Amino acid sequence: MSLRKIHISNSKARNTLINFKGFTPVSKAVKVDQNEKPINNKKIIKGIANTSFEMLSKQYNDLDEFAEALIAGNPEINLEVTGKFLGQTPKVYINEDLNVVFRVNKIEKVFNPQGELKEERNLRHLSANVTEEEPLKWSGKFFPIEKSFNKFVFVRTYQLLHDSGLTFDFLYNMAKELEEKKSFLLLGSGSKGTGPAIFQENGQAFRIFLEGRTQGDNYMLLMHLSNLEFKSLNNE
Amino acid sequence: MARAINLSFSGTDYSVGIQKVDRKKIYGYTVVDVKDDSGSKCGLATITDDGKYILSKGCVGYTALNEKNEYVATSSIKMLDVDGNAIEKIPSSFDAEKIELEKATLEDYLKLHVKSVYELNSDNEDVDIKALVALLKAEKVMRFKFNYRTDYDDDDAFLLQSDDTVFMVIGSISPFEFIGLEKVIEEVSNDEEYDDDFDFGML
Repeated sequence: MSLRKIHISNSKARNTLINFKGFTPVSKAVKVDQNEKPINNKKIIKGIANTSFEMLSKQYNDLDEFAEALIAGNPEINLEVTGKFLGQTPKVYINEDLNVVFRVNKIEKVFNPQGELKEERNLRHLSANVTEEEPLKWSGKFFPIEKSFNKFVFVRTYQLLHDSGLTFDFLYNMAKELEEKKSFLLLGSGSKGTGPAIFQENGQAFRIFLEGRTQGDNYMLLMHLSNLEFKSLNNE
Repeated sequence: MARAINLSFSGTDYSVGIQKVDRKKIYGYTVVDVKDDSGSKCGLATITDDGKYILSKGCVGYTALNEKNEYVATSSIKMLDVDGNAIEKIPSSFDAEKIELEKATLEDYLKLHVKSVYELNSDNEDVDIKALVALLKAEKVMRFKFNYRTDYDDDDAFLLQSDDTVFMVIGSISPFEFIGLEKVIEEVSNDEEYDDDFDFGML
């Protein structure tokens, strides 16, 4: 599979598609069987909706009767599928009667931090905007690193990567400029480059803070994503 | 205060509790209500490959299989490190008598693959939290190894202060390196998915 891409512009409004990569931590521990051979986890079917506790219990007057039925006849087991491995898992909507529904209505409910309902509205569609024709712009808004590292939580950090001599110059110069300013740069959508970045359809929106470092002819350009500030939970 | 972590630096001890920073409690959150035409609440379910059966919540589980696709009982599963050597569990940080803080750099902190954020608290706010705030105003970030519960993996934890509140950010430091023109960029698989736990004020 290919590296992910993002369309960005620099301080001179030059733009290009750039690769980026993240990091996924891997556990130090590996599961093995008694012969020290690796084992794998596989998805299996434990039961089906019609034999779930919620559905079966509706068929009996009380839990005692239900318990007797479970002991006597094993109605919770469907011998045809229980224990079967699961391959592709297409999703469907079901209603409270476990019937598949082909047309649904979605309402978005907005709650405040106290959990109180503030608003009900039609579900908004958020379009991805990181690889559109219009690049994410160099906003010109700088945040000194030493004053802002403790203002925003960088929930994701990615490294931007060149794939040609041209993109090397493009990214190296960005990193150099940011290193000299000792600042993060806000990179974003909209004409001013201050809007959020959305990486996938209906995905979360993030603010992007670029950070640059150089070491001789080498560079490291990091893209920090934030959607959370360092704020005390105990402030009223 | 719930369970405490006992931190120490240059002979000064700090006993602190942690409270997870939940984005919902700062910005609020949204929930999508799905209903059919008759107003009945709907939810997502899986169907089997042949489309015959619906698998609702709780219908799918995981089982451990060996190379021959034979079932492996949980009790017979062993844990080794990647080199095939026996590996010990790392005790929970809450059980440690004292954890020594180390000075850290912003360069390392800014490469952190963040897992969680916690706010620190204490029964002796004046002693522990204020002292930590003063330390972090001078040092900017401090670090230690943190393990919430006894298991095989621990995390890098960084402490910082913001507006006189101490936060602990835990995760793993990403192995990003400086790259030059001659560096060959390898194609890597993109298995990363965004989790939807946060919702940053874009409500």
